[in-house]
Amino acid sequence: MQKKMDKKAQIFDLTKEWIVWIVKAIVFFVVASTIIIIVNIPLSSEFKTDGLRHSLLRQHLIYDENCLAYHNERTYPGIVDIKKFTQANLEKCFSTQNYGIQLTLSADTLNIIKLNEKLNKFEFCFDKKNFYCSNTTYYVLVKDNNMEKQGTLNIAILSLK
Amino acid sequence: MDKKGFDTRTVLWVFYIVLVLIMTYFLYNYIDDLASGEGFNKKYFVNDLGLTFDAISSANGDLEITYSNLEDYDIAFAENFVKIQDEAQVYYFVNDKNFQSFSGNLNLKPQDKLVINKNNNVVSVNAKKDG
Repeated sequence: MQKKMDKKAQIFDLTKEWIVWIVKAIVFFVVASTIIIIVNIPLSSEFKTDGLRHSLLRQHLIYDENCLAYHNERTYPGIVDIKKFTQANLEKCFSTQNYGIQLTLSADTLNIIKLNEKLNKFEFCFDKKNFYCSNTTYYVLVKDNNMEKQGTLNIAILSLK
Repeated sequence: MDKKGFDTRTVLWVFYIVLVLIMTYFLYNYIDDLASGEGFNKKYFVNDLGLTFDAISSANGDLEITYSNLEDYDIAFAENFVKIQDEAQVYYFVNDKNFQSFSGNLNLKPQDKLVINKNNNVVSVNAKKDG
């Protein structure tokens, strides 16, 4: 009888010890997490440069003589050379796996070029939580042989956040 | 029995102290990194450098950009990214294949200057001693 009582007491002690340990572990993690969170709130920093990046990339497309800008002795930003508005030329001057681009040039006719099909295969900017999107239209002059025509150039850019 | 109990308690206390030391070490490093702004500086520098590369290709004409007041950075340049070695800080820029761009590693010291040069369609990056 005494032996049975001793065994019961031992089991009770063991269980009690385990409970105390679990409580200690919980308190330990709560305190550690609280310290990290408190320290992290005022000191954490995040760069949100997506808007600036997209702006630079649009300028790259419009101002760079290798991309779309008309060049005759000097470069004319704002004048799009229709001969440069080709898939091959734009893929060469704008090689990327991180951005999906759709360019729509509208003058006499409507020309659309998509760069990086991997990011362009979905409906544009279908998921605003995971993608940053920008869509800007510029009034441009389109140089077609010796003619200058009024037109618009829409640049839609999609990038992973 | 008493001796056995005493031993267990001693081991437990040693364990507590070791645990506290380990936690203090990691927490101190973490707070120091945030408070000194070292991680922030690296992140800022990589972003700034990457944005510069994105801007260079849209510039018509030659240019030279000089970075001074640098930290001890080990930077890797590749066709379409710039990163600080041994860190998760990386910036992917758009590659203009008409340009001959710089690829390689640069080990910058605080007294160095980083010079980015665009000459026609060639982009070069060099580390120069300050002064």
